[in-house]
Amino acid sequence: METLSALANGFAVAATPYNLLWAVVGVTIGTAIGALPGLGPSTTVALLMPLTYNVHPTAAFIMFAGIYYGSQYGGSTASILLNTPGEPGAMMTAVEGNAMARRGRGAQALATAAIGSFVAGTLGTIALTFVAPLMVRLALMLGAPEYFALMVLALAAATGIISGSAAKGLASLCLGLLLGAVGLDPQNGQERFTFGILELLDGIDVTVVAVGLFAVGETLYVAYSGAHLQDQVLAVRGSLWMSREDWSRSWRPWLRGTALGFPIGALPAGGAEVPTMLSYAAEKRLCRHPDEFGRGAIEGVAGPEAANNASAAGALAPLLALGLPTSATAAVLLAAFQQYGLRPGPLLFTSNPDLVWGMIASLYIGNILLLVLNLPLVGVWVKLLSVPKPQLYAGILCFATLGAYTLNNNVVDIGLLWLIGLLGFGMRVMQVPIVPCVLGFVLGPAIELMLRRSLAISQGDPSVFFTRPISCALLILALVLLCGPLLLRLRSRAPADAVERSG
Amino acid sequence: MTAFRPAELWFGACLVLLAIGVAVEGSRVTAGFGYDTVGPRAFPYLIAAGLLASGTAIVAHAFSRGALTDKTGGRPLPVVAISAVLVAQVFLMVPLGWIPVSTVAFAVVAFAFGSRALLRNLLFGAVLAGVTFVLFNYGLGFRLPVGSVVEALL
Repeated sequence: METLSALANGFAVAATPYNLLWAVVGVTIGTAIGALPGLGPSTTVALLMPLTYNVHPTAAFIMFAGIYYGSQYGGSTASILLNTPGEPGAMMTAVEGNAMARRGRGAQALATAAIGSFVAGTLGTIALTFVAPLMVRLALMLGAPEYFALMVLALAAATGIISGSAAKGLASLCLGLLLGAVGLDPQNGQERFTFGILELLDGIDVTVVAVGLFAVGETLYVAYSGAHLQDQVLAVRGSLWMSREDWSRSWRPWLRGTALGFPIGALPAGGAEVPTMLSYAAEKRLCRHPDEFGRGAIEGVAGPEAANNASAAGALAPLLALGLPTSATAAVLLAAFQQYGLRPGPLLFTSNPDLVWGMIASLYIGNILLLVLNLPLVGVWVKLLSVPKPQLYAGILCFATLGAYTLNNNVVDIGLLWLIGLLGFGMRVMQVPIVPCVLGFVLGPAIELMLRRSLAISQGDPSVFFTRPISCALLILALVLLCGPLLLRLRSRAPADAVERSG
Repeated sequence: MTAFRPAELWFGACLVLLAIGVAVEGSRVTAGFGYDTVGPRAFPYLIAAGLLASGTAIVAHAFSRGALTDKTGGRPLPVVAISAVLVAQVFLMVPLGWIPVSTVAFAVVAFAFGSRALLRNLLFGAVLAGVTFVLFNYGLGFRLPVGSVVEALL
């Protein structure tokens, strides 16, 4: 089986002392920064990208894999102890985990989260190992029109499925596309939106966009909304081990969470929110003690945590095999690949097998490292969370500036960081979703390229997208995802209006 | 009675203006040639259309009925302060160097968040700036600026 032999080769690559060192660095930094409130995995990966520029690409990606998984772990620590989920996928963990911590069962919550993440991460990575090559075979059937349709589907899913105003989702997407269009046009290399500024010819760096939108925007928003009360970090007291009952109540949610998380994470629908909420609902329905939910039921931590980690693994399948990011973090990883001149997709598996399989192998290794790190080092993470907000955000801003400056040794990037940070701030105030913006930014140039290439091949005939069956089906699905929620909302509003008028 | 939401009106109006700006700027791009039937102007026009559509929808929504869901107001002063810090860094980073600029930035941001321990924050900022300077310049091979003014003095 060529997959297993490729994976074995990957382990040989990942287990060299040099690469192992980078794996350890990655998981440690990933967990530490993921634990900080307000910094989710996508910001963490974006912030730490400059660190890897002087490192060999294989080692850099091994480090990214560690950061990717590590930040998920770190996020659950913040959710449980501080009730500040750093990202949407950790929201359900925050609900139950924090409730558990308040009842003095914080250690058990952390343990079930850590072990569940390990189980889900390992199973998810195994699934990734076999699914990715299958997707590659699928990808070879796709031409430019199909890639275009697939990316449109990804953007439609991210924009249409968010709750709230569809207009705001579209606005966010267009802003992202606009940011992505700055620089040289992908087909002909003509300047666009550069306003004569030389530094903009290369386009805006993904680190600047991700860190600006997430870290700087969040910092400005927290400063604006002025939550001054110091959050209470709940101490981890009492027994540190999970009881037999805890284990027996946890293992099924772990498996169910994984089963939910992986396939949904692989779909173009924007990440971890859906599977974690589904997992929470499922566990509540299936539990023998449903009244405990909301007051600290361990299933409510075990399931969503597993779903969160499995969806992270799932998102890697379309990223590596098709070059299609299905979450903000995957989008940042894609941009990282592009920085190195690599294009994820079927070709990557044949041209750089060491890198791809080394990265997948280091996901396994990273999972083990994370389990080893997280349980004993809980005390350290708790200390980290006790840093008061003013210094914490000052430090975040310091790193953000550092990250932006070191990209090109250029202060223009700091200026861009500020402008995009203002944009992120404005979006938060106006309750405009941010994920469509990041996806639009990363996918915009690729979509445009596929669009123009398709039309060049068909010599200007736009029906090419509809005469080819796969791309036609994908575009129709995209339309359904965009308009479906809108129509549903209009229909549910119509009877309510009628009631208002008659009442 | 219609609920009027000024914030949404401004936001929608900004989007519409941006749409016009994008279209105008897009039209200034030199056109494509040869087999490229779509050309580099098409995408900017598409973006402008999207911005126009969402902008008008948001403006329309600003005048609609329905409960006000806007978040309660906040304090703009810290935002201005932090913005000033970032803008100042653009101009002062190269002349003054990483360590002094970053130290002051740290203290100002902490102040904007309500910490009044000015000296302590300056100390923290200096330590953080120093450690990152050493780590990045000597450990990782980057070139954080020493400061042209500082170099001239030394």
